[in-house]
Order: sequence, then structure tokens, then C-alpha cells
Amino acid sequence: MRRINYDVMGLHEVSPWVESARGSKLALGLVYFVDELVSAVLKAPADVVMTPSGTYMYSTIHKPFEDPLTNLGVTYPATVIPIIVSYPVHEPESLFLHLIIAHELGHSAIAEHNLDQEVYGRDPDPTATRDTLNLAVAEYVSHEGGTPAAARGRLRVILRNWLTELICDGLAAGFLGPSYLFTAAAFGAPFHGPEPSETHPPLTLRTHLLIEQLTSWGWSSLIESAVPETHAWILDTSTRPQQAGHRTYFLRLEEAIRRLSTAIEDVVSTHLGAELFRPDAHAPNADELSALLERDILPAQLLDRSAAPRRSIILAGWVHAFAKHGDEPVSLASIVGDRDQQRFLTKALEMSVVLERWTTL
Amino acid sequence: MTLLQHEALVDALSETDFDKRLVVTPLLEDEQVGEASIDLRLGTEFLLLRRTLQAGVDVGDPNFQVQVDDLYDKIVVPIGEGMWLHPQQFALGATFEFVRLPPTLGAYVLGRSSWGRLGLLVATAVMVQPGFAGSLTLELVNEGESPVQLYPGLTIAQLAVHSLHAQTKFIKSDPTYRAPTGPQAARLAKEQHALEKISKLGDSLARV
Repeated sequence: MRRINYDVMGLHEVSPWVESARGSKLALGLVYFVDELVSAVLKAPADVVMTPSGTYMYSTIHKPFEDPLTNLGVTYPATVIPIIVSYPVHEPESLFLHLIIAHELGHSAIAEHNLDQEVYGRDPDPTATRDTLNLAVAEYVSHEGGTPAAARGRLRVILRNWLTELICDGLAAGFLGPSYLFTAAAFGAPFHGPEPSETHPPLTLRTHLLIEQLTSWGWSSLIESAVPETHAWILDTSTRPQQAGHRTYFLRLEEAIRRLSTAIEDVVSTHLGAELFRPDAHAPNADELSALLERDILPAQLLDRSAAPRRSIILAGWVHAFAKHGDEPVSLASIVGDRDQQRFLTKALEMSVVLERWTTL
Repeated sequence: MTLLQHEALVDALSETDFDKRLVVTPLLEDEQVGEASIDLRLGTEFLLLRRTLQAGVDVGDPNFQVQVDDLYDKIVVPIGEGMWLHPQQFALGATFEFVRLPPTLGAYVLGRSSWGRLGLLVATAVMVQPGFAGSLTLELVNEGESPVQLYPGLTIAQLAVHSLHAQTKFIKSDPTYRAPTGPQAARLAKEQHALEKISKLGDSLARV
């Protein structure tokens, strides 16, 4: 009975998904951009249903109901992967926040391509990682009780949870460049303290790795020159220690993760391949897009009649938004609250996609 | 005031000085620039009028804007799909293209006669002021006897652009419709203020 009750509760959860699948409330520009994200980040055909949620901020369900349906003998879609992505019900038009969908699709990419296992496989010093985990196990048993075997199992789960989130961050930053850093700062700062949890690594560690990756991919000079004050604040955030409190084993997990940071970056770069967003792909368009935005001109088409690249539109949009709202951390909130500008940019994404497809006909 | 011919339109669209450029973006085909006008396509967003429980729309009501906004349902019709416009139905659409006029140019939006012959009226507020930036709202009315299917992406209107006698320095810094990217419902705040003044005028005249 409990199992049936559980399944019925699960089926109730489907209702808003069905409604969302029938007709998305999201702007076309965003719908098209998610298709682009699927192609770049997931690298597999997928049917993404984006559904508003009052319960979750952003979350992903990869292959919903795969196990129960398979157990019932129902053939599960084999070629197109069903994915449910929830977004905040009150933020349907927030393009800047919706960049988190790139992170969410990262969860599916990890599930499909075993990227976490690849990271473990590239651990530069497995012995040191094992020693660090041994220390963490001892600290866990000391503070939480239980057996070392149970503690080791629990810590492995937490480490994998953290690693998963960090790979997702890396994929989003790799594809979107500094835009994702700004989004993560806007999204993370108001809601999360520096405290870690069993499902998510500390914000400080996440920010630290994002900065490290973007620097490695050549973005630091653009960020520093475009938003020096905000950049300084983000840097400061990334160097604060996590507030682990008595749960000192979280500090050990951070040590282990930091040792894996290069492996994360390598796996992300390899996975994205040519889709890794580099400054030299953005630079040729940056000035023109900036000039268009300054004059309230839709930044969809460049003077040479080509479609403006979507990622450059978004990044130019972030830089323009800082110029408009001020280069200071508090502006992150007002930028995300500027619905008019985000509607404008989303329309530019739509027009850019249509123009690009038109030229291929 | 001179109507810009094909070559002048191409020059204006290619102007490298952003502040002097005539912007029509995205322009999918060069062929949209005709002899003396630019073909404009139908956009993907529409505002459909619906019946409400209100008595009507009164610009003198302090809640006028709420009344107006309550009149419309917004729908999105992706390219590749269509929308039926029934006889006597009124809808607001918008041009697919985002238009920006420099301070040296004005324009008129005109329906394409091919659609007009089916009974479809496309635009009633046809003047586009110098300095305007945005997608142009189209007032779509089916005056024919048969429903007409509208397809976003098809050319539906044309923009006739003309030069001004001289460049105007009078460009409103806070226009009624600022860089819209879809159809805009009526905004009559200015008329509401004017009505207040007219009411006062009426009061003073009544005392005479």
C-alpha cells in the first residue's frame, strides 16, 4: 500500500508537467535557447519540459518514471531523453536566472556520459584523496556516531553530490562564460550562506572553482575591466572559508574537491569541445552588441547581416545591465529584477535563432 | 519630405554610424527592400481582445489602464504555426522586425494590398515618428466574410520611409512605447491628463 501511495503521489506531480508540455509559458527565445543548451551540454536528443514550480527553485528530473514504467513493461523512450526542468513560478521572464537551466541540464549530461566517473578517473593523486577521506570518516564517526563503514558510505554520497553540482557549474560556465558567473552570484548570494549541505557544496567553493575555470579559459580580463567592483566582491566571496561548524568532515571534502578541480575543468572542456565559449568568439561582436544595446536596438543581427551569436547577446546584455544599474554587488538584484531588459534580450535570442535557421534553408 | 527609394533605403540600412542608421532587424532577405518601401513580416506575439465583465472602457476612469490590460489575452504563435482571424475579429500583432528610425527619417506603416483584398486590415495608426525604436504594433482586423489564417514570418505590411525637411532635435526621451518587442496595448496616460484639464475647463465654462 505504501508503494502504491508513493506512486500515486508521484503521478500527481505529473499534472503540471503535462500542462507545461501542452504549451510553455516561456518566451520563444528562451525555448530556442534551451534547445541550444541541450545540443551543447547534453549532446543527445532530449525532450525538455520546462515547468513552473512553487516548491523548487530550479531542479531537474532526468528520465522521469523510468524505473516504474520499465518494471511495468512499458517501453521507455530510447532515442529522445525526457527531462523535466523546474523553474521558479514567479520568474518566467527572467532570462538571467534561467541561465541556471544550463547547470540543470548538466545533471542529465552527467547521467548520460558518466562525467563524474571521468573526474574520479583523472584524480591526480588518488592516494591523497583516500587519505583525506579517511580523515573525514574519522571526524564523521567522532561527531555523528555510527560505524566507519556507514560513515564512509555517507561521505562518498556527499562527495558525489558536491562533485555533481560542481561539474554542472563547470558545464554552465564553460558554455556561457562569465554570464553564468554573474547568474550564479545573483542566484546564490541572496539564498545561501557559506554553509555547506549534504547535497550542495559551499557557495564559497563553488564561486572559487568558477573563477578558476573562467580564468583558465581566458575570461578574467573581460570580467575585471567590465565590472571591477563586482568582480572584487565575487573574488572576496570565493576566498571566505566555509562555515562547517562542528562538521569538520566537510572541510576534508573540500580538500578532496580542490584536488579534483583541474580534473573537473579538463572533463568539462573535453565534453564541451568546440562548444566551449572563449573570449575570442565573443570579442569580434562585443563592441557592436554593446553599441546596439546602448541605443535600445534589438541586438539580433549584426551589420554584416549575420545573426548575433546567442551567448554574446547574453554576455553583452549582462555587461550593459551593469553599466545601467551600476557596477556593485547590490545591482545583481536590480538587474535580475529588470524584466524589460530581459524580455528585450530574450526577443533578440528568438530573432537571432530564426535568422540563423533562415540562412540555412 | 522625400520618399526614400530602393538605393536610399539600402544606404540608410547600411549606415555605419549607429545614430544615423535606419534599423530594420532582423532583415531576413535583401528582397524585402522594394522600390520605395521595406516589406515587414508578421511577428509571433498577439494580443487578442476578449469580452469582460466590465461595462466598457472609459479613459476618464482612474483605473483605465487596468481596464485596458484586462481586455487582452496574450498568445504566442511560433513560426511554422498559424492563427485564424475570424470575420470582424480584432487583434493586435506586431512586426517581426524591430525598427528604429534616426532623427532624420519618418515612416508610414501600410498594409500589403494582397492581404487587403482578402479583407484584412493591418494597420490604422500608420505614422512612425523619428527616433521610434521597437517592433511596430499592427491593428489586425478581418473585414472579410471568411476566416483568414495568419502565419508569423509572412510579409504582411510595408514600411514607407521618408526624409524630414531637417533633422529634428525633438526626440522624446520618455516615449509612450519604449523599445517594445511585441504588440502593445493602448497607453493613454497622456490623454487621461488631458481629460483632467478638459474637465476643469468644462467646470470653469459651466460657471460662466
